[in-house]
Amino acid sequence: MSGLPSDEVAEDYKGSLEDLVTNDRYQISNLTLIAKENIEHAEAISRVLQNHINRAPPARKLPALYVLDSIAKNVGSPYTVYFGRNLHQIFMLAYSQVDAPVRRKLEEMLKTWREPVPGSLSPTPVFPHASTQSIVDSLNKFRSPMPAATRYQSPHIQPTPARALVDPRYRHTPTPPQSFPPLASGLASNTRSPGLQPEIPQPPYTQTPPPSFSQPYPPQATPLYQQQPPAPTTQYHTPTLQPGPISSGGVDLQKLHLDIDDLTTDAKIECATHPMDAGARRKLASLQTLKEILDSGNASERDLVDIRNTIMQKMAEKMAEPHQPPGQTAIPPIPTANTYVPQTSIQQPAATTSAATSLFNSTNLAELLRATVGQQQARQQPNYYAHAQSGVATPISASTAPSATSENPLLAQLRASGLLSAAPTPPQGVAHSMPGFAAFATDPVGEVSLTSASIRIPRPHLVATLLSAWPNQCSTCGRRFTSDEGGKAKKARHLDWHFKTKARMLEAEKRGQNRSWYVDEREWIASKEFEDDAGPVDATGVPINGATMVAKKKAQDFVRVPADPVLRSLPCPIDQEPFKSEWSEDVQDFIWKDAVQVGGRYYHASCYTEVTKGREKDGVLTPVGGIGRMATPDSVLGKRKAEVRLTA
Amino acid sequence: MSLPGLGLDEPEEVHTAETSQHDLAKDNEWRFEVAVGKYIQLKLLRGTAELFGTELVIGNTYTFTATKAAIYTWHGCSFEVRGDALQSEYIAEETPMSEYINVHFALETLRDQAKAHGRQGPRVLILGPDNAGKSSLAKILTGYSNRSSRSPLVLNLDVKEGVMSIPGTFTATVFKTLMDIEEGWGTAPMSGPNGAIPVKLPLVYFYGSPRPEEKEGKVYKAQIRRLALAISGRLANDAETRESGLIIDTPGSLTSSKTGQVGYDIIQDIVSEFAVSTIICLGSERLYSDMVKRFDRQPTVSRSTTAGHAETISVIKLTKSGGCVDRDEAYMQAFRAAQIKAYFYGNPRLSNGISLQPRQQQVDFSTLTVWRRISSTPDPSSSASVGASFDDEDEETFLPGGMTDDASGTYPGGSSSKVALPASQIYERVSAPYAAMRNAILAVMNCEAEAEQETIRDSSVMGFLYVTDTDEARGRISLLSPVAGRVPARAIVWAGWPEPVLGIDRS
Repeated sequence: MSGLPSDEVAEDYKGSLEDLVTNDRYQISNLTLIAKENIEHAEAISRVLQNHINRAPPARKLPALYVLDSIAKNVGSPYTVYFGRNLHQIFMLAYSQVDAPVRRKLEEMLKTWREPVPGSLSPTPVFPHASTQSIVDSLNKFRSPMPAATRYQSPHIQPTPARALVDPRYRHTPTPPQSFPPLASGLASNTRSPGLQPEIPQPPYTQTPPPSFSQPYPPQATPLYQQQPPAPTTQYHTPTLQPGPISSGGVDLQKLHLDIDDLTTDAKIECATHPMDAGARRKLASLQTLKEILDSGNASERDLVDIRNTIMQKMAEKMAEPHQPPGQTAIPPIPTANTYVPQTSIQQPAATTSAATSLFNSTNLAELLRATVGQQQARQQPNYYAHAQSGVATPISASTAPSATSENPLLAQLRASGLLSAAPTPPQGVAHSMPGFAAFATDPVGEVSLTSASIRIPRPHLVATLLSAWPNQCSTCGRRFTSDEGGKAKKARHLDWHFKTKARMLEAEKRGQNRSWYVDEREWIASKEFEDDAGPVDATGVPINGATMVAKKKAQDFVRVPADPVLRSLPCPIDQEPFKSEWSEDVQDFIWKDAVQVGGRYYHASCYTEVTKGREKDGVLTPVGGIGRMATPDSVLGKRKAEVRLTA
Repeated sequence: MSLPGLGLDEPEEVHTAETSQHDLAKDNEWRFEVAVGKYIQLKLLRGTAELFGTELVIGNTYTFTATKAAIYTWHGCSFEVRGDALQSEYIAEETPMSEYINVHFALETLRDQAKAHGRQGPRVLILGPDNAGKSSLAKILTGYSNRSSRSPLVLNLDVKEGVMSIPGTFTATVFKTLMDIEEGWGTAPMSGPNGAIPVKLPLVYFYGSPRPEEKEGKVYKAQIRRLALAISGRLANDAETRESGLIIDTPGSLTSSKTGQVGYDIIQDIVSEFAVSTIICLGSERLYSDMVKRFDRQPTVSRSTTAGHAETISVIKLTKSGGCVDRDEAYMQAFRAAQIKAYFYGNPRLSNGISLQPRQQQVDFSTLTVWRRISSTPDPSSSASVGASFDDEDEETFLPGGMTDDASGTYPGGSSSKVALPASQIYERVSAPYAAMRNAILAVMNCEAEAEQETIRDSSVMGFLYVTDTDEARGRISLLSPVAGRVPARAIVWAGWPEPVLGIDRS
């Protein structure tokens, strides 16, 4: 066994997991083997795996879950214990983000978890029922509130019975442990379920793609999906292959169906991830209506062309997205959206503004569709805004309006859906798709309401707005200012304040600082916090740093007793009288009243005035304070004179 | 080792200043723990980063001590760390920050509405068990509010941890200026300026016990009522704060089942006293459902009733951050000791910290009016015997109610031997110093020395004193006072909590 530290193993394992993009039997068995060999790092590995499952994009969740399944069945404890703790959360999170076919796989897998390990003599299930039962419950709950529309064409799934006996489909579970290729026999001999191994067939990736796609699938596609021919989400054709919009001629109905299915699935995912999102539900309903119409064959040729072109456009945009390498960690120059969030922003302002405006007055089916779909895509792939945006903005030449006379129920419905979603926020305040655009410009945060559901939806654009609203940062303290004139002026004052504070700090350091008494209620109520640039520096009697200010203002009358004992013992050079120390409540320090400091010596203020009288009309008493700033040139003169006289 | 204050005296070890650089991917969080008495320096090199909602500046060195915190980045960053060894550090990829910032956006909406209609801004109450991240959330919300140019009033009702003051206090502070990243919240006024971050002005009340549920929460509620009055006065004067609203942090024990009904009664009180409009529940489903049952959609107790506008309370739950760690009693005690020390001495090792010089003085005890809280401080009549052991036994702690583990026989035994005091009596005048007072924290109240007992209890605090020594024979007491000069002729309260800190004057 390796003697590596846990985190190193974990890091390694994480790397391997990230390479797992398809349901690759070999890889999965390999990962299982690693987990087995490093069983002493079980905790780290299981943590990494759980994180990976939670964070993986929907298409990669299934393979990752298969790894979990495989480890649980082939290695068992202690992994089952670690997984068991968070099983519900992992499973439900994954379940909520994948599409129907994958869900079915997940359910099958869950079923096997509730049964004994295949081939094992022990009757205990893979995971204790305690951890799986809650998932079953949640699944049952999860299904019931799903909008009827979602169930419309999703394969109907039996709620998993509390404990299934022998499920006939059991052997067909695609779970890898039972499908280890022979080369993994080394592992198999160690596993608890060697017996069942050879029986399990069907490596999913051997499936041939459905005929309508001539292009090889990009690697992102999970081959597993291909087992269901219409399987929509992953049919990433390359945009180049797409025939350009055709304004007339035959419409490939089959393809159209597929594409609509695809978009429908997206909408469904949207619906499932945000069950409270009314907008998504409406959109889904619209798409499904569209499909129904197509199925019924009532649509006119022209409608079909329109629909087809629009859908194709959408598909092209959709295709363009996955070509971006996901998960870039480079620091973007300007704040943009999150990348990590799988389920995302409901509103993408940039991408949808144009769509929204056209939406409100348009009777155009294509535009309507485009708007809805564009929005939907913006939601699904927040990190690719740029693409979605440009796609939406591109005018589509073929989008000729369907004849106004064709009172297609579909059209009416779509329009209604568009208009409906423009209606004000439903009372529960769940974020909704269309409405905010108009309001958005004026009130960038109008959409988050204080409900647990609304709070959960990440809103990268709002974050970006908040973070970039004040680009002008003070390099000393980090305070931010706007980049306009007002902000610049404010910053200048603020920097000034920093400078002054620094000077006062030096002064205060010599004297020594201490904590002030807290203010009482009356003072506190009357107080107002000042912004640094406007505050205590100029105002007097302000409680913040008040003591110093008071000392400065009243410096004409007194000075603090100097810390230097020599200075303290010296009498006034003019009348040779010593100074009398007094405690000052205001200053909270000992002071000399009627004293003034000039050029490093202390004088009685009265003596000093007397001596310098006549030479200086006024401003005599200004040269106080350690900084030695003089109010007028006169006083400098006066000071020098005085000193000369004294030293003489 | 639960020696209070001992962490402060640890000799400065010579550390090799190891520098390590960390790169943080976007939306990740670097969580770290620095023990009391240890210091690390952190410098942001690239990107943007924030600590509980307040931004770090590139190139500045930040010093941290006695903290468990997290550096979060929205866009990715890299920074370097050096100094003492960290207790723990790791990078977390899952954070609830997007939820937390959403709360801020929602509050901003309400603040804008408040501004437009001249109403009161949102009053947010944060509830949750201990170590659920309540204070961190309060900091985050305050930090973001500052970034949005708001000045919310932050109300700390968590008596276990001080905000802008020592533990055992309630504070109300308006945060208009930047929060102090290193200090956690900020610094209360001093005789001079405070470097780059302006000081903030707290209003402080002294509760003097870690348990709000004491005496069926009567004392706690009474002080809250008083605080609420002060706050409504302030809000009436200060439009900006009124629009920005309140952020209220609470002790975790309010929601614990041990506290039971009393805790919920106190919550009820807080909700109505401060006209809370939003309740955030962290880390407890049971609490959330209880709060929903009780408060969700109920009308608020808003004082600024605008015609035609009925405000209702919304209850929401937020995910507890995975970074929340349990802080054991030993850590909390050392943390409290550090807070108390910072009150007197400042924390000069922080890059923005100031070295403060409290005054040590010996005064005639008879010039002071010291009131001892009967329920939680040792009785002087039994102190002759206790005193001797007190000096030797470092592990002595004053738990309120005389529930000291190893000396439980001594304190209550003393008082029970005397004639029982009337139940309404809270304080007893201390006529002469005695040894048990050593190392104790005394609170100087803003009220007449001989005021009514309840007046003393509910008054705001002027400051704190630390007893360095007692001289029973000569009737003198040595005090550490933040401010030089005579101790003000006010009522001085000895509550027995925060627990005595050893050797605070010997630093």
